[in-house]
Amino acid sequence: MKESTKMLLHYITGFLILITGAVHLIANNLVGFNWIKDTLWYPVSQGIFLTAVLYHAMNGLRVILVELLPVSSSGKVISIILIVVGTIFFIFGLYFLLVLFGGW
Amino acid sequence: MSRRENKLGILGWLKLRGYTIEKLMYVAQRISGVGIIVFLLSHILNVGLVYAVTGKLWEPPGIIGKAVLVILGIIVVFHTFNGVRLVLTEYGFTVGKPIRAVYPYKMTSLSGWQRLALYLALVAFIIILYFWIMVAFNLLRW
Repeated sequence: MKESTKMLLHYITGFLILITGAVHLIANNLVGFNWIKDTLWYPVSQGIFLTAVLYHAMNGLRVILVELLPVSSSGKVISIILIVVGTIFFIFGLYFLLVLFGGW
Repeated sequence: MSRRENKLGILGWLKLRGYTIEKLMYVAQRISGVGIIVFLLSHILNVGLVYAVTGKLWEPPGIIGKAVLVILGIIVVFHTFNGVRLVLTEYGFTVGKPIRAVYPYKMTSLSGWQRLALYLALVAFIIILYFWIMVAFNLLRW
């Protein structure tokens, strides 16, 4: 994947986090808005939030690490490690969402 | 680029003297990003494990937990507004047109709309910060 595509995805996920993160914070912190959690949209929103936030986080870490270790061979190793870490957290988070909302 | 060319590494972030305010914002964006990642990953693990063991959803543990959430909120709000400014700058929306280099030199990429966007990001950060603190300490009855 081209670097510009990775960064475009970084910005798109940032925008998605802005919306779904706000839903997450409002539904969990403002008592008057607890009804949001009972809607069908909420689990979908949380799934999008989990996916977007993990991509954004792992790509952000990749950018920092690649800049700190500017050797051409290190970029691929860093990417692979972060993909593995991100996937583990994604599976864990998705499983939790399925237990919580999907009746697993 | 070789490793030697970035020999300052993470210490290079702290070198602020002689740079514009954009360098400070760059460092703050990175530090806030790393802080959010630490919270995010521990939050995913913590919520999942607490639910698996006790069957209850996670609550911020006491005053320290609440303080962590308040600080996290501050960091997230800053990261968001500065992030929007960075996206606008990267795609050229706030960067001025290049001009001929005539003394006294004017950096069009660091002045005008770009600098205004930086100040707007800081003002928006302070406004949302006010509401976040009000919500965090239950001062707004919503």
